[in-house]
Amino acid sequence: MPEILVFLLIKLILVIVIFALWMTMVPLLIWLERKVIADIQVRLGPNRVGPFGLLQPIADAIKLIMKEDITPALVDKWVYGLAPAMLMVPAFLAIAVIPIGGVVTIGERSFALQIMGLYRGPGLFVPELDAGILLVLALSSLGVYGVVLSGWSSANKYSLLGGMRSSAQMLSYELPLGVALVGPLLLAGTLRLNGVVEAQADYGIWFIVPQLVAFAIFLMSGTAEINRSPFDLPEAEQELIGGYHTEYSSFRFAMFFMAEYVNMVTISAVAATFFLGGYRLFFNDIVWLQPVWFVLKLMAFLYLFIWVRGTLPRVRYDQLMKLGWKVFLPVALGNLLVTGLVIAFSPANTILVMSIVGALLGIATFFGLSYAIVYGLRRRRPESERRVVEPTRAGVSE
Amino acid sequence: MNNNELITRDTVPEAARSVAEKAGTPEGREMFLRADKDAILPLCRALHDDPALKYNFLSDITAVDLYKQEPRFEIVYRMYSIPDGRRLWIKTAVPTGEEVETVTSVWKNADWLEREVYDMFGARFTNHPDLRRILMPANWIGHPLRKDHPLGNEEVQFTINKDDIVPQTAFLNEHFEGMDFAEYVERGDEINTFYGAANMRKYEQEGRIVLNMGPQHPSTHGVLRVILALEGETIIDADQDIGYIHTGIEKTAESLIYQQALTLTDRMDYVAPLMNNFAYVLPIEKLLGVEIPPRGQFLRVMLNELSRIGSHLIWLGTHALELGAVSIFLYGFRDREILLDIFELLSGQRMMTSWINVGGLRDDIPEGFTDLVRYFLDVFPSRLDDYHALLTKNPIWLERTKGIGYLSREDALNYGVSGPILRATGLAWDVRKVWPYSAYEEFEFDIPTGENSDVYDRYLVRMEEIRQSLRIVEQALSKLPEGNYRIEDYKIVLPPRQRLDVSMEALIHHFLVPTHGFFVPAGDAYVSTESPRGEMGFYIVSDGGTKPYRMRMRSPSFSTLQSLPLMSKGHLVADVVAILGSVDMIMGEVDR
Amino acid sequence: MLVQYLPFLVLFIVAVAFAGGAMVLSRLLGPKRPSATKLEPYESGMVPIGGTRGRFPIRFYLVALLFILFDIEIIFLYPWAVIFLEAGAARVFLFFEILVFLGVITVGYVYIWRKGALDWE
Repeated sequence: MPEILVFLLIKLILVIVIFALWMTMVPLLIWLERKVIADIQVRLGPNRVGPFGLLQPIADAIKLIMKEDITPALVDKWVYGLAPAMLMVPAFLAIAVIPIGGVVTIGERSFALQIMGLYRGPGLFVPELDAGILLVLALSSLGVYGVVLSGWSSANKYSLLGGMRSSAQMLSYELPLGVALVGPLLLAGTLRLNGVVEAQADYGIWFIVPQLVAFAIFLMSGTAEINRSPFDLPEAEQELIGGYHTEYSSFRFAMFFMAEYVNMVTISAVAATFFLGGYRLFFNDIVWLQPVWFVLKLMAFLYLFIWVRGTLPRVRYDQLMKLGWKVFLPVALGNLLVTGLVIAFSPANTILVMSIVGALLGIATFFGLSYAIVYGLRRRRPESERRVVEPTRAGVSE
Repeated sequence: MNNNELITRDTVPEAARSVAEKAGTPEGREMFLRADKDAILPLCRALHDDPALKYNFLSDITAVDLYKQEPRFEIVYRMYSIPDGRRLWIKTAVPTGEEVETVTSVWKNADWLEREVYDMFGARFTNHPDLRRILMPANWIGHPLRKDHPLGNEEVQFTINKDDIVPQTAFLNEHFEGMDFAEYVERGDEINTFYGAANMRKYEQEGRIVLNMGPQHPSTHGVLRVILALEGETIIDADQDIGYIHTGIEKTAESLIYQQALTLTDRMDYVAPLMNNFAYVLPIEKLLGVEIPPRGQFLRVMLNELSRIGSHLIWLGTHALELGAVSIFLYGFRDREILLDIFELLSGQRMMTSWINVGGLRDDIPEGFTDLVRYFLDVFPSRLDDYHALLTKNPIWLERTKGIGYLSREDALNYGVSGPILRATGLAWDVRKVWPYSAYEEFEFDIPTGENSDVYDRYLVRMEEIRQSLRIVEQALSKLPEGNYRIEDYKIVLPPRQRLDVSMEALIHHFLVPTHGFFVPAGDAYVSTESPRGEMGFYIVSDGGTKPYRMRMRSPSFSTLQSLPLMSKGHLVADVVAILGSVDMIMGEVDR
Repeated sequence: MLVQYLPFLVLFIVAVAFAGGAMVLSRLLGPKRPSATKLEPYESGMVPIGGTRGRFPIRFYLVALLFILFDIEIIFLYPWAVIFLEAGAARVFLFFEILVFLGVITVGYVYIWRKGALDWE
C-alpha cells in the first residue's frame, strides 16, 4: 500500500472521529443547555425521552427532518436554499486545525490528533498547517455570508433586519477577536495551534494568566461572533421573531441551529487551546488521555456560555457596536502593545514579568471598565434611587 | 378652586355658560354638568386652559344609546384636575345624524376615545383627525353598542325589525367605493391590514420599510399590532392597531343580570381578574346605596393587593424576558404560583375567580387561607431582593432601560396616562390615596414615584409598589375585623344555605337572586379604582331593571397605549420592546 | 505541498455530504402541502405592507468597509507576532516598527471615530 493511501486512511479516520466528536458535542450541548437553564430557572427540563431526557435533541432532530420544508413564494430560491449550507459548512471546516491531542506514534508512523496536523511516515512527511488559527478566523468570516444571504433572500423584513444586524455584528467583532489572539501568539511565536499548546506547556503557565485581558476580550467577542446571549441580537426572538432564520423550517432551520452550536464548540475549543493549555496538563502526558482533558476544558467554556445566557439581559444593537469598536478594539490593541513591550525589553524572565503584568492589567481593566460603566451612568442620572413622596389626604403633593 | 363657581368664570366663553343641569358636592370637588353639544369644545377648552381650573386629564369619553328617544345619544365626558383631585362630568345629548365637535385639540387621548364612540355607536365627531373604526374590523357592518345592533349578529329578520339592520351596500360605498361585495369579503384580510395602517402608507410610498410588529409577535403581550416606519432600525413613526381580541363584553353585559355580567369582567384584565370584579361592583353598590361591612372591605383590599402583586410579577417576568433575561420570567411565575394557590384555595379557581360580588364577597375565607397568605408574606420579600440583585444594578439592564421611552409629565397627562407610568414622571397620583375606596384610607402605604419618566423609573416604581402592596396585605391580615363579610340584604346576596330549611322567604330569594337578579335603582354611577395599570373604573347606567343598561370600562392601558408612538419615536426597534414592557398593557383590557 | 490540504478536502466532502444529505432527507421525508397563506412572508400574521427592498441606511455598508480596512491591517500583525519572539536582539527594533504601524492605524481609527462613523444613534 502506498504511503499516501495510509496517510489518507489515517486522516479519514481522524476526520470521522473529530467530526463525530463535534456531532456528539452538539446534541449533548443542546441537552446540557436545556438542563442547566432549566435548573437555573427552577424547572426540570427535558426528562421524557431517554434517561434524563438525553435523547431529546435526537428526537427534535428527527422531528425537524420530518417537517415540511417550506420555501415561501417571494424568496430568491437558490440563495434561500443554499444559505443554511453556507453557514454550516464553514462552521464544520473550522474544526480542521483544532488539536484534540498531541502526537501519537503507532509503529513507525506518528501523527497529531488534529485533522490538518503533523504526519510522519516512511517516505512521507506532512507538517502541520502553518496558517493555523488564521484558518479558523477566515472560516468564521465566511459564515457571515450564510447569515446575510439568508436574511436578504427571505423577502421578509424581520429576516432582513436580522441579517443586517448580524453582518455588522459579526464583522465588527471579528476585529477584537483577531487582535486579542495576537497577544498569546506573541508569547507562543507560532500560528500553529499545536505550537500554542506546547508553548504553554513549556512556559509552565497557561496563557490565561499573562493574557488575562486578551482572554476576556476573546471570550466576549467570541460570544458576539457566534451570536450567543447576551449578544444574540440577530435572532433576538422578542424583537425580530427569529431574525435571519424567521422563514426557515424543517431541517434547514435545524442547520442554522446546529451551525450556531458547532461554532460555540469551536470557539470554546479555540479558547481552551489558547488560554487553558489545550489538551495538555502539566503533570499527565499520556497522549491517549489528552482528548479527555481537552473536552473537559471545552465543557467548562460551554457551561459558562449557558450560565451567561441564563443570567443576563440582552444588549441593544448600537450598544453592541459601540462596545466592539470603541472599547474592545482599543483595549485589545493596548494589550498587544504591553505584551510586545514586555517581550522586547525583558528578554530574561519574559513569562514571569508578563504574568505579573498581565494579571494586574486584567484586574485593572476589569475595574476600570466597570467603573466607567457605572460612573458613566451615574453622571448622566444623578439620583436614580426611588423617591417616596407622601401624598396629603385631600389632594396630592407634587 | 371650587367647582361650583366654574361656570361663572371669565375664561369660560359665553356660548358655553348655558348649562341645562348642574349638580355638585358642596365643597366643590365633584361636579356634574349637562351642556349643549355645541358648547362642548369651547367649554372643554376653557376648562383645560384656565390655570385655576386646570382640567388637564381626560379620563374617559363614552356614550349611551337611548334607543327610541331623541336625541338618541348621550355622550359623557369625564375629566380630572390633577393634582388638585377635582373631577367633573359633562354630558351632552346628540341626536341621530348630528355631529359633535371633537376635543382632540384639547386632550390628545380623546382621539381613540372618540374613535371608539364612533365605532361603537356611529356618533360622529366633527374635525376629528382620523375618524376610523378602532376595535371592530374595517369590514364590520353596523355599530355594535347601539341597542338595535343584534347580539351575536344572528338576529332573525322580521317585518318589525328589518329596517333596523344596516344595509351592507351602504357601508361598502362609504368605505370602499366601487368594490363589489364578493371581492370585499375575499380580500377581507388585506383590507384590514391596510386599513389599520392607513396612517403609515405614506412611508411605504416614500420607499421606507414599514414593519408590522404584531399581532402575532412575541413581545406585543397578546395581540397588539404596532406598525413601525423604519430608517434602518430607527423608528421614524409608529402607529397602532388594536381590537384583535375585542370580545364585545360591554355589549354582552347588557343582556345579562348583574351577577352574570360579573363573570365577564374577569376576562377583561385577565392578569388581575379580582381587581376587575372589585371595580365592577363598586358603582353598582353606589347605585344600590349599600355599605359593605368592615371585614368584607378588608378582605377585598387584601385580595386586591394580592392581585396587584400577581400582576406586577407577570409584568416583571415578561418585561425582563423581552429584554433577554429569560430566568426572571420563570421566577416571577414561581411566586405567582403561590398567589394562584391562594385564589384557588379561596374559590376553587386559579384565575377567573369572580370572588368579589355585589354586596361583599362570595363566601368567607376558608380555613388555612391566612396561613397561606402568611407564608407568601414570609418567603416573598427575600425573593424580591433577589430580583433587585439580578436587575436593578445590572449594567446591561441599566443601559437598556435608562433614558428609554421618555414621557414628559405634560404629555402623560395630556394622553390620559395613569398608574405607574404617570407616577414615574414624579407625580404621586394614586386613586387609592386621592379618592379612597373600600377602606383604603385605613391602611398605611406610600406612593413610590420616579423622576426621569423612563423605562427604568417605571421599573423601580412597580418594584416598589410590590413592596407597598405587601405592606397593605400585612396590615389587612393583622387587622382583619370579625363580623360579616357581606351585607345582609337577601334581595341582593344569597341567604345562608342553612336558612333554606326554616324560611320560605330565604327559599324564594335563593331562587330569585340567581335567576332574576336584583333591581338596581335607575341612574348612573362611576367609581375609579387603582389597577396595576392605572385608573380603572366601571361606568354603570341602570334603567331600574336587573340588567345593566350600559356597562363601560374605563381601561387604563387603552389611554396609555396612545402615547406609545410618542415614547418610541427616534428609538430603535429593540427599544420598542422595552417600552411595551414598561407600558405593561393587557390587551384583554384594552380591547374588551 | 498540496498533499497537506488533502485532509481538508476530506473534511469538506464530509461536511457538504452531511449538509446536503440532511437537506435531501428532509425533502424526501417531509410532507409537501403548500398553500397561499403558508407561502406568504411572515410578518406577525399580517399581509406585508411594501417589500423588503426599501431604503436602508448606508451605515451598514460603512461598517463592512471599515471592517475590510482594519481586518487587513490586523492581519499584518500576525507575521510580526510570529517572528517577534525569535528575533532576539532585534525585538526592540521590531517593537518600535510595529509601534509606527499601529500609530498609522490609530490615526485612521481616531479619524473615523471623530467623523462619527462608529456612532449608532
